[in-house]
Amino acid sequence: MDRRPIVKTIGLTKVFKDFWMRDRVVAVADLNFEVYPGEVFGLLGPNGSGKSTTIKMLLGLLYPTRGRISVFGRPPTDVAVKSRIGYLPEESYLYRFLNAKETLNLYGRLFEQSGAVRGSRISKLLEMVGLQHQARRRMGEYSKGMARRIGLAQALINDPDFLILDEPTTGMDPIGTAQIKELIRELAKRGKTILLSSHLLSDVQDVCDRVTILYGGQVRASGALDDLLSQKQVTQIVTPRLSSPTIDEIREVIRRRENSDDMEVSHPTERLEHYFVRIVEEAQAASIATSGVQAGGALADFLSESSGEQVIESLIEAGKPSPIPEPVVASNVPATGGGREVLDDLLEDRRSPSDSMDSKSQAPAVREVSSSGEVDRSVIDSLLGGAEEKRGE
Amino acid sequence: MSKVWTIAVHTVREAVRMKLVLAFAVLIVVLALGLPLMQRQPGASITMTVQAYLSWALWPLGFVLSALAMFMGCLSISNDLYYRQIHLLVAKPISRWQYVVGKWLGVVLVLTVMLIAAGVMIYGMGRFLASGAYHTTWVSVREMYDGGFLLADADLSSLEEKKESTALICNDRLGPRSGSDSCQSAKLSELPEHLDSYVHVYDHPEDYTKLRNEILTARATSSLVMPNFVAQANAMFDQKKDQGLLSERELQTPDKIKQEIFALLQGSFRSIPPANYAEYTFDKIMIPPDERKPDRVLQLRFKAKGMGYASDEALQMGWVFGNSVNAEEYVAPLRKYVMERYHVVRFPATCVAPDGTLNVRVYNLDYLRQGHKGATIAFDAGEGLEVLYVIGTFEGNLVRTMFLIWCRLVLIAGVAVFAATFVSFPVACLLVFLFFILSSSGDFVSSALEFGVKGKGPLGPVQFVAEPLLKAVFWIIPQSKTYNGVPTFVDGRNVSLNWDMMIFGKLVMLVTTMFLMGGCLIFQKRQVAELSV
Repeated sequence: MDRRPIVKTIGLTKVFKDFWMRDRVVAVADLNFEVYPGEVFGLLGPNGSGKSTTIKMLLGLLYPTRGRISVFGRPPTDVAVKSRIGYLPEESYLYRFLNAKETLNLYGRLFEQSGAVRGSRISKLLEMVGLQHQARRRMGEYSKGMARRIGLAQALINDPDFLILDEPTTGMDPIGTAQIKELIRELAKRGKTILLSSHLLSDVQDVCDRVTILYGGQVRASGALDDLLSQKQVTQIVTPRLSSPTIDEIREVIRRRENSDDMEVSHPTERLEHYFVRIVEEAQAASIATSGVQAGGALADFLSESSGEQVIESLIEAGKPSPIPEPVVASNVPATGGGREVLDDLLEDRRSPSDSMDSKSQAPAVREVSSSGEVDRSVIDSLLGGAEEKRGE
Repeated sequence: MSKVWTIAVHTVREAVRMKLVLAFAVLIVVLALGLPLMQRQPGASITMTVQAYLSWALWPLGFVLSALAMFMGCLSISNDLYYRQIHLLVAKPISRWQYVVGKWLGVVLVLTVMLIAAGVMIYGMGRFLASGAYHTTWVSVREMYDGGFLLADADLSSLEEKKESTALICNDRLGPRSGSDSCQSAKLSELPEHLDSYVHVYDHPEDYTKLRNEILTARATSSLVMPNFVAQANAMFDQKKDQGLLSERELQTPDKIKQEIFALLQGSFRSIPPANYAEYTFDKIMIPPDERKPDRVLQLRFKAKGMGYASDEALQMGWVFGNSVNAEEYVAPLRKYVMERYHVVRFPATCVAPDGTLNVRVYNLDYLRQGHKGATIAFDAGEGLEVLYVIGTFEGNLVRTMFLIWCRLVLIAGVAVFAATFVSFPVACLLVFLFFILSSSGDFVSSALEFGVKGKGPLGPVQFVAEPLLKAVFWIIPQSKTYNGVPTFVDGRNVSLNWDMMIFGKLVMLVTTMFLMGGCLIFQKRQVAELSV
C-alpha cells in the first residue's frame, strides 16, 4: 500500500524573538517526523516541550523560523488543505455568546456545507457528545468539559481525514475521557488519521500506534508504542487467586529453572477509570436527572470510513512512497528481550515429563490480560499440572 | 463570498449579543427623540426649532456612529485574537482576507442598519416638529426700531391672543438687559402703529412658509460672477511699481501686495456707496425652461454691513431682478434690512434668462433716512451674496446627507479593522482617534507647512522630507469638511448626488479599499498565535 505521509516536517524550527529581534525562546528545534494515513500518532512531552507550537505550525497559526512542513503535500497555510482537517485546540476557544447549535453552524458554514447537511451533522454530533438536550444554552454557561465536547464536535463537523487533538481530555470527566478515547479508536478503525498531543500518558498509551516524545523542542524518542514500551526482560502472569503453596511452588520452579529469587506476587486492582465509568453508567441507566452531560451516543454515522488508499489518492503531491521509519530509541531506554524464554522454559518444563499433551496444554501459554480481569485458566492449569507431576515423581 | 458573509453575519451577531449595539442604539434614540425636549427654547421660531433639531441630531449621530464603527472595527478582530477564537477560525478553510473583509462587512452592516433607523427617527421627528404640534406659540420679539427696542415675551395659545400680549418698549438701546428702568410695559394691541411693523411673530404662517422654502428643501446655489481680479491686481501692481509708488519693503513681498490689491478690488466690487447701485450677475441657475414660471420663487440670500454703523443697524435697500431684454424684471418691495444678519429676498423664476444667468441691481437707499448722509453697504465674501433655488426635496436631501455619513462610517470601519490587524484593541482605538484628528486638522497642517517652506517652520532641516510625507498622509486621510454634508443640509441647501458619488469614490472605493487591502496583507503575514511553550 502506498504510504505517503499526511504530515511531514523536515528540520522544523521555531524561535520566538523579542522586540529587538533577538532570540528569546527556541520552542522547536530541528524537528523531523511524519504522520501516516490511518494511524494514531501521539505527540508527547512535558509542559513547554513544543507540542502546541508544532501543532500551531501544522495549522498555519505560526510560521516556522526554519525548516519545512507539508500537510497533505501542501503548505499548511493552503486553504484547500484545511477543508480536510479537524482541530481541537488545547482549550476550546469557542464564542461565549453563541449556543452549541450556533457554534457548530458557524463552523459548518465555513466548510460551505449545505443547510441540510449542516443541520443533520449538527444534530448527530450533539447526540454523539451527549449535549443534544443543552443545544440552546450559550457556551458561556457551559462547564469546561461540556465546552470541550462542543469543541470536539466542531472538529468533526467536516468529517475530516486528519484530526488534530491537542490535549483532548483536558477538563473532561472520566466518562468524557473514556468516550474520547473510544472515539479515537473508532475513528482510527474507520481509517482516519489522528495526531494526538498530550502529557497524560495513560491517554496516549490507550490509543496511539506511534509516538514522538519531545523535550525542549527536540525529539527524544520516537517509534511504535509497543516497541517503545515492551519490557521483554520481565514476565507477568495473571491468574485467579492462588494459594500460598501454589505460589511457593511457582517460586520454586522459577528458582530452579531461572536461578533467580526475583519474583513479586500481588493482587491486581481495577482501574479507577473503569470503576467510575461503571458507577455513572448505572446512574444513567436509572435515569437520574442532570443538567450536565448525558450519555453520549454512538459515533455520528456521517463520519465516513476513509481507507488509507482513499487518503493517499487524495494526496496531491507526487513522490515515492516513504516507508514507516524504524523506531528510534533513545539511548537511555533499556534494551529489550529475555521474557519469552522464561515462558518457553515453563512450557518445556510442563511438556518434558509427559509424552502425551492434553488439549488444554495446546492453548496459548500466555495471553494478554483483559481489562476485565478475565484470565485464561488453561495457563494456570498447565503450570500447576506440571508442578504436581513433578511432586508425584 | 459565502465565507465572507458568514463572518459578517457572525460579527453582527457578536455585536448584538455583546450588547454593544444596544448601548449605542439607546444613545441614538435619546439623541434623535430626546433632544427636542432638551433644546426647547421660549421664543424660538419654528424654523429655528427645526433647524436646530436637525443640526443637533445629525451632528451627534455621526459622532456616535463613528465611535461605534471604531469600537466594533477594533474590537471584533482584537477579541478573536485575545480570546484565541482565531485559532479555530484560521484552522478552517477560510482565507485571511475573507476573514478581514467579513469583519469589516459585519461592522458596516450594523452601522447601515443603525444609520437607516436613526435617519427614519430624525425624519419623523423633524416632520413632527415642523408640523408645529410640539411648538408652543411662543412669541419672543426683540426687534430694533428707531431709537430703542421693542421686546415682547409671551406664551400664546393662539395667534389671536397676540394683541393681548404684553410688550416692553425700551428707549435704551441695550433693552431691559441693561437693568435700566427706561422700559415700559404696553399691550401689543396698544402699540403705536408705526411700531407694529417691527413686531415679528414667529408662529405666523409666514414662518412655516420660510421653514418649507428654506429648511425643508434642497436648494442649489449660484454664486456671484466675479471679474478677473487677479489680472487686474497684477496690472495695478505693475503700474504702481513703474510709478515708483511701492517701497523697498513692499517690493520684496510682491505676492503679499498683489493679494492685498486683489482683496481691495473684490471688496470694492461688493460695496455700494449711498445713493448708488451695483449690478451683479449670477450664472448656472439650472431651472428647466418649463419651470421658469411666475409662481416659481427663487431666493437671493445676503449678509451685508453698513460701513461705520453698528452691527445691528437697519439700512434701506432696493432690489431689481432680471432685465427687460431677455428676462422679466421684478422690483422687490423696499424695506430696511438689519446689517450683519442673513436676509432672503424672493423673486420669480421668470427673472432668470434662458441661458441660466440672472442680473440683479442693488440700490443703497440709506441716504433717504432723515438726518443721515448714508453709509456704504458691503456684502460679505463667500456666502454674503448668493442665489438659492429649490432643486430637490427635503427627503432626498436627507438621504444624500445620510449617504455621506455612511461613507464616513465605512471608512472609519475600514481604518479600525486595518488597525486591529496589527495592534491590540486600545492601541487600535488610539490610531483611529489619531485618524480623526488628522482628518480635521488638514488646514492647520497645510498652513504650518507653508510657513515651514519659508524656512521658519518647526520641522527645520527635515522639511524637504516631511513636507511630501505629510502631503501624502493628508491625501490618504480625507479632510472631514469635504464630506460633512450636515451644515449644507441643515441650511436647506442641496447635497448633490455628484458630491455623494465623488465622496463614495474617494472614501469607500479608494481609501477604504486601500486600508482593507493593507489590513489583509498584514493579517496574511501575521502569526495569529503567540509564544506558548
